Amino acid sequence: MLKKCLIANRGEIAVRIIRACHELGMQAVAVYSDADANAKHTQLADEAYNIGAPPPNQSYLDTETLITVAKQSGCDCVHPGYGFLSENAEFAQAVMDAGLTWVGPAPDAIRAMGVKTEARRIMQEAGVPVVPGFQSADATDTEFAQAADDIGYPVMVKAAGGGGGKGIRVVHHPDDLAEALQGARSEAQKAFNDARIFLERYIEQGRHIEIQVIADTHGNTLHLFERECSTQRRHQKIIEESPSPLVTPQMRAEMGAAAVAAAEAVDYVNAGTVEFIATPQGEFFFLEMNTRLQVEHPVTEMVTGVDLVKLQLKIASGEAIPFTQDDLKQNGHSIECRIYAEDARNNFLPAIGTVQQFIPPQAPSVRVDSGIQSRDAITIHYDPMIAKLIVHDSTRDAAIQRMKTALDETVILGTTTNIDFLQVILEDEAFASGTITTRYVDENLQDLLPDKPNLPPQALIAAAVAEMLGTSQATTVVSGEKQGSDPYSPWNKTDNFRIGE
Amino acid sequence: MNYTYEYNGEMHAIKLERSPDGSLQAVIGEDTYTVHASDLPDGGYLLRINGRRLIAHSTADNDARYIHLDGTQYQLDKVDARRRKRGSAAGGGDLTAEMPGQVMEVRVALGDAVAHGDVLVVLEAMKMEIRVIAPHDGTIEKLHVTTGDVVERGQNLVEITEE
Repeated sequence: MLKKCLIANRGEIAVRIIRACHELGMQAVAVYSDADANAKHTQLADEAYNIGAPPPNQSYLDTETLITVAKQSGCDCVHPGYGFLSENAEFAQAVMDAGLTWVGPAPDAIRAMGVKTEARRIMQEAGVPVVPGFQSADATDTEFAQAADDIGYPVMVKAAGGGGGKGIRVVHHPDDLAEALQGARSEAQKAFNDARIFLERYIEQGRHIEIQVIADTHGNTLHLFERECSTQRRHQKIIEESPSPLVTPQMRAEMGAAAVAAAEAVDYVNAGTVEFIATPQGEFFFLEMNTRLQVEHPVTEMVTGVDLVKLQLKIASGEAIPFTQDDLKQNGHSIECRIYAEDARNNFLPAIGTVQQFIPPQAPSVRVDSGIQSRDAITIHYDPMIAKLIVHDSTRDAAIQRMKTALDETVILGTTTNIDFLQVILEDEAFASGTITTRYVDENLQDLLPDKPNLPPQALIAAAVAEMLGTSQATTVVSGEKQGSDPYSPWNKTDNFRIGE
Repeated sequence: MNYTYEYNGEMHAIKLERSPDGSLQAVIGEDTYTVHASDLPDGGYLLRINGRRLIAHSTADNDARYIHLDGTQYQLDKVDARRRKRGSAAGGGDLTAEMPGQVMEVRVALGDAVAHGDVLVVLEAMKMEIRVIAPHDGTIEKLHVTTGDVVERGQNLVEITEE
């Protein structure tokens, strides 16, 4: 078993990986930028090292520094989390060249799936259905226009070199194609340092359904069923769930087999996700493979009982997957909501500021994955996600009800959040009936924006009571925390923990 | 004690006094409420308002007072302590930064003639691209930023003459 892991990430996913390491008896080494000197992940880790300035390219994307820290701190492996360097084949290779284990797939698999055009070709050869499209490394705008006519409008312009919604343009009319090509190229160049783009048929009533796969070094490749992530705004996922209300047992078996074939086609090892777009009629097409852990992995963990992060670390240690496909069952229903510091009533602008108080809900089968603590700042440097709220219950309706209650009980003061927006979606008929498409939220946004609530007298009384009784309540709570009893507190360590360097 | 808050453009006044029996009496307009309040270990308050039990949480930040009650968050502005409203400088309109971020692109130069709807400056903050658009035809009179600049919310970016 591996013994000490460098976590090349921040926030909730770094916290998630640290916990998995500790449960396996491994040590966890955190890294942090100047903006994260007091962040939760630095406090929970056994060691934490400052790696630079807040902009990611000066810290969390600094591959040389990360590898130096990993080696000097005696790590034997690197877990990249999601985002940042998680799908960077050069970094994976550099980690391996430094004599460390990469907790993820081989660089070749990352590379094959990372270039979307290459991935499409491999998938077609492996017999996995793909969306009709056009790819060419050096096509002119005229050739793209011809291809778009052949595919039929609307078409989608996508970045060949990355995911996460960056670079994507939907074009409804030929007149708009040239500007979309130019815009997608420049955004792709900036985001991925790769200006290549490709075209795809735009499926109007598309549902985003993805299959979690896991593979070990002993030749076993399994799938852990589907997640549906159709509730998106501008291609960013908001709510995810498993199982999907659209997927029938037969469709599940077909999608699972296709995902396993996709993974095997690139000799995939470790956890990955094969994303499909599905039609309401049950057709499905390969979109892309994410060669890393996903943000929404907890819903799969809740319904299968498999701890994906611990399994990742065991597979990286050379162990075989300790179960077979037939052992896996989907039990009940799980939903995840992403809580963001953003203002739905103000064009969803990120709400920069300090989370003065964060009290996560506590209830049966309610899980909170968060890297934020009271008094932490939401800065312009990173994604404004405060927490992922995950619930599980026996049925979808019961899980929705549990999520509504959990959101009600989530206290986040000091910054605007999207909790009211999430509540509106959960109440919406399309969500309740399980028929939301990936375009639904964007198309119905005006109806889904939460009204600013009226001020009830009880809230005014609460304000006055707080004013009268506790002028510095939040400060008192923070200073009243026991510093001496926390085994993970950096203040109790004798190692080379440094602050603010 | 009297407290006044602004919420959603309206003023809300409340008078809160301690009664001899230790409870609180709140007066809002014509209505009077009997309030029992105690601190909770997590920093919240257990309130009993006219017999109904509620849990509320609250923090304050300068003139802002945040309340969480029954699953809803309210942000009130305390009026007596309220300072001059922050935000964009006079005449800035759409030509100020909507949020803190970085200037990714400046598409105009001093003296350029621009038309209504032209993209003048492109900002980026986190994953968002924000285009600053000319609100009317005119000429670029002043240019306050260059590519790579980090800007604060409300900061003036560019000024256009009236045509």
